[in-house]
Amino acid sequence: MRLVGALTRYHLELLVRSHAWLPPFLAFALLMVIGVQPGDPLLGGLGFGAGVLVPVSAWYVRAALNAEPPASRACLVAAAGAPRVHLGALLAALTAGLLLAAGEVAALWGLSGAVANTGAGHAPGVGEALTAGLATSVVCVLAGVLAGALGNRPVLLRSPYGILATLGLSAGALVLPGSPANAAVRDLVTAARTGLVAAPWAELLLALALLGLLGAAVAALAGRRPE
Amino acid sequence: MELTAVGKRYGRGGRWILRGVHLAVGPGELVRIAGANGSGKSTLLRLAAGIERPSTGRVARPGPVAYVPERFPPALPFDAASYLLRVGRVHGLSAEAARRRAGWWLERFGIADRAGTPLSRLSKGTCQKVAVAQALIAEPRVLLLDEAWTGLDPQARAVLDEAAAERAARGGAVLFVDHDPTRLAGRTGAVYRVGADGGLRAVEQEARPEGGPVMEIEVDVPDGSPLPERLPGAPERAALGGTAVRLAVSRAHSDALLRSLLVGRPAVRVLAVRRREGER
Repeated sequence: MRLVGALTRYHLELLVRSHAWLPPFLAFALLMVIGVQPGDPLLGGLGFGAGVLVPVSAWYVRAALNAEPPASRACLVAAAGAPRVHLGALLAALTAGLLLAAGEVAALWGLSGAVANTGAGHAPGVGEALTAGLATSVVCVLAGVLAGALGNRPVLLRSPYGILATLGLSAGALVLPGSPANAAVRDLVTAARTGLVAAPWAELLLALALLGLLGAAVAALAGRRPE
Repeated sequence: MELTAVGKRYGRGGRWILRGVHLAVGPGELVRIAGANGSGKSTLLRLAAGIERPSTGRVARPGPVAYVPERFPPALPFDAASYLLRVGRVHGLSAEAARRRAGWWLERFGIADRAGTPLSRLSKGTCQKVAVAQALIAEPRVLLLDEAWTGLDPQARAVLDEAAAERAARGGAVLFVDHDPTRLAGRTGAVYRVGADGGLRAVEQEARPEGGPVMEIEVDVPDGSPLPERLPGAPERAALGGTAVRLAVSRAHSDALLRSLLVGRPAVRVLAVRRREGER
């Protein structure tokens, strides 16, 4: 586990130093500026931001996996084994996504107006809304990392299809009923209309379990298909 | 480390690059893999490192492995010191140990002054020194060198020769590929050749050129520690007074022996180099 921590740190530093973190961040910032105006209701903004986090987190997985040249990856694989190296990259992308989620919730808290839409039946508290918004964002980051993990190597080895698959899986996570990200975002948007806020704890557990299970399977596959 | 009946081909109908390869490298062994270009030497090392999986057979590794690739990418956005620190942590070292060993190896390769320079701004040879240091800081049980000498200057090649021999002397298994047929000559335990059919065969090592003048090198080891067990040319040793030692070796190996004594550990002071008396 200590080695996975060291590998996560390695990949995070690689993301930062190679500036590979920047394009997904800029895309996220741009979409947020287009989609949310200052003074908009908080819950609606949180729902929109969480939705955007899905493809952006998936992009972070792709960025973390591609930031490493094959020769230096070979050195890491020799030292720690391919599954751990892959897990390190996935956890680095997850960390980047979670940092972005925290920043998004904080920024919306500072810039938004009322909590719920005008005409909502109830007036929820800011704390309640922020908790639900943060939990939803985390669910979306987990779903996005899962989409990225399934849409790139070692599951898909051909790079051009990887982009399509990552986008498709991200969109699927957002729109398909039964997906935790879809349920959590829908609840948040509904809450903006009705004023009845409920944090998506069940969806969070489901997303955690899914990513833990499938992430481990993908890492194991990286050991069986190292190149 | 042991490879059992290992075969490798890419794709189902591909050519067998390696086939039926059996290779065991025990602790303290220094083994060379020879073969023509594209014969599968590098593939064999990558299989041993676990970077690729064999199509058939099994690879058993006793523990941590360190691997030096033939070409190291300068595109990596690290500077030498922070890269070595990060990789040292991946090798399981503490931050403090990783920093200390990285500093030590950068010093030994003479690039300590460039520790903070981004790899992208280092020359190819300097970058290769970092690639070698990356493996050596781990003090691994298995060390795999894929033409790691390519691009190094003569001084650094000698340091790497010593480092590989030291690793073996301390119980590591060292497997290497190099184009120079005299690389680590006289210190290599076994040589294998990858054939065109993908098979691996042991190569009889040429007998040491016996006869000819014998050179005597007298050195003093100030801290009294023993000299490495394997030295170029397998010299005869005779203890002199105090911590001094006399090494006798055929002239073909005397330069390599001297070089290895000067850059190796323990540090020695050379007292005399001369042709053995009574010979012409």
